[in-house]
Amino acid sequence: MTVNWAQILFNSVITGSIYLLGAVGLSVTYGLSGFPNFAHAEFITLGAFIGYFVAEQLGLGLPAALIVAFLVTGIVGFLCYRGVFQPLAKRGASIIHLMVASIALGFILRYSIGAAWSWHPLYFTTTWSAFDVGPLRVTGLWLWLIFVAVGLAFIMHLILTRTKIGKAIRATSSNPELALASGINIDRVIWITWFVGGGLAAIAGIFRGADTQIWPMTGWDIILPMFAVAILGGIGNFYGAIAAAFVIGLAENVGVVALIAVGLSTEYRMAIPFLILIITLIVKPQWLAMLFRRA
Amino acid sequence: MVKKLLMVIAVLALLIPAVGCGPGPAETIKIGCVLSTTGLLGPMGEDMMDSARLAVEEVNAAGGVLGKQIELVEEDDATEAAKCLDRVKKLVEIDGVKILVGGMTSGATMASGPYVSGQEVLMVSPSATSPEISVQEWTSWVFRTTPSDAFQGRVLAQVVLDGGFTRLATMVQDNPYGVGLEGALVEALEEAGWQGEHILSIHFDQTKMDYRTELGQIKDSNPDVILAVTYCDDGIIVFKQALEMGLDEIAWLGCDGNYGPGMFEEPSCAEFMETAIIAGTRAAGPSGTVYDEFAAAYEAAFGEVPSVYCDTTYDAIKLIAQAIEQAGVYDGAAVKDALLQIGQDYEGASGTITFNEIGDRVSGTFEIWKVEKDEQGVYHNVQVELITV
Repeated sequence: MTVNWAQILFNSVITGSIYLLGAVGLSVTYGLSGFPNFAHAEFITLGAFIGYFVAEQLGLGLPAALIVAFLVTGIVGFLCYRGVFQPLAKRGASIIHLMVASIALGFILRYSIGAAWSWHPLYFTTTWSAFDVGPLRVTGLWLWLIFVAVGLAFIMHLILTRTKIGKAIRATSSNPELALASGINIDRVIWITWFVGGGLAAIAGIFRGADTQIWPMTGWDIILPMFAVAILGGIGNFYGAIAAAFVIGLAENVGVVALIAVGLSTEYRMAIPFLILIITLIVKPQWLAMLFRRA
Repeated sequence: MVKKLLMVIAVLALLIPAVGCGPGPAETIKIGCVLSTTGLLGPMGEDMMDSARLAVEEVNAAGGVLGKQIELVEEDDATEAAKCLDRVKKLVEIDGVKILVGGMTSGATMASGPYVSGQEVLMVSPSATSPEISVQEWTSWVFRTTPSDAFQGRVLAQVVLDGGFTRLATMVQDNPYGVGLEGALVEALEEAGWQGEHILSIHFDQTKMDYRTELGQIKDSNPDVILAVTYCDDGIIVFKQALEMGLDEIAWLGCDGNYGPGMFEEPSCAEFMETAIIAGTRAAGPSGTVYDEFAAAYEAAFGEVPSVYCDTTYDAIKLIAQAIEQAGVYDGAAVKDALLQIGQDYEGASGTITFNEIGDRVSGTFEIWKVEKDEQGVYHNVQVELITV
């Protein structure tokens, strides 16, 4: 059986790019606020719907949709933290309380989105022409997705390493007490990460929506692999999450080839990244995080 | 303490008559109905439920059965097989139902079959098409007013043979419906002495919606015909990504799951279906007088034409009502025997129904469809021909 490995690698980058955009925010807010935010799935969904609203219902095109969805969902992310999680944390809520609260918030957002738009799937009407580049089959949308994901990751890298706020985020992430003692406004640092995390999730949602469909479960459908990415990359580790996104994207797509070759259902594709995750956690939990840890 | 205990006993005592009465000798005849009115198949399930309501109304207007009115006890399984079993148990154990219409999908029917046979409850599915159901131990308790996909497989096989295709690939949902129809096609091809080869079989996850690598594998295996067994939402993504991956130059076969206008909401999918699908199949009611009367009544009641499996749902209720009348008693086993007698050359909305000894239809009428675009740029399913097998 012939296998077009170049295409498989390319498909893995597509899958990985969505995971990257979705998982970075999940991982960093998990790291800074100390709990997994299940409502992150709804940030993805909300971003997809806002993107649909701007691009299709207002007819302003994809770039405008990306910017508006980033800003609006970012603000919603900030408000969720400021309005729900921060007050709970200040009252001494444990990780379990916060996690359950995030699940509840996710339900509220999901069903509100369903009521506001619809439970019937929506589709972007733009058709992207496909073309061949050597052995590769690509479409404009896939190139856009990879360009935006890699571009945003690079901008994030510059912010984290070159700016004051970026340094404050890294300081808070590695040692909150020391950061506080050094005069860093920790609350503001956390607000900014929730804003950016929500915004990135929205971008992931728009691309997932344009690639497939938009409905209130859009984010929930892909939140599981994103948790795998966050854990594999090391909770709160930005560079780890980027690497893990592509590792899991690759594992899934190579997994599909392997499953087909042995005659199994490709429904088991998600089992492969989780197998990697479990083995990593048992054998050497820090290996990926260590590889990509920055001073 | 004693007071509290007495209170508890008093409350429990209040419950006893309720439990004792249970289903009891009611004034109505209950027919359960478990369909998927929410979830992936929600829109289809709603229409089917309407057909069931219509049939019950008609029977009641004509005097009901055994001198009593029929009460339709409706349940929704949210397009989840496990939930269907849960709802069936509720109908049997809480409502005391002995006869019910459902499950809507093959998976739901497979999940509920063992339970209903153990309880001697008769289940009539209007839309579970998997051939796997016919070979289960409990199959005699599950009747089907829709023909098994063994027939749809034969129709698809005929298309493959007529087209002279020799390299078949299949891309099907990983559930009894998808795997069942794939098996039926391959079996029918083998029976017909087909000289070709089934080169690739892919069983996909309908919620994953990232099928580029699956489709790439199909492309690399170089088939000349591909069968896609999907529902609507996942089918749209399969076809859209197939167009993007450049698989539109290969001949594709569709089926009942990806029939309907819902598929054309996504422009890439519509374009792909028009160019690549050389033939699709679906169970079709022949346009007889019973169907026309049903369709007119349905349109008058609900303001739209009946969609897929509405006719088989309507027939299921009508057949059950007649069988109860004939049996003269509300009992699963008795009605099952009566249904086997009634279901011989029965003229239903979905054509002439004749059951074999396990409650499967012995023949079915299928439509071969294609997708065409009219002058206004609107896509339609058009009938190519009707085949009775």
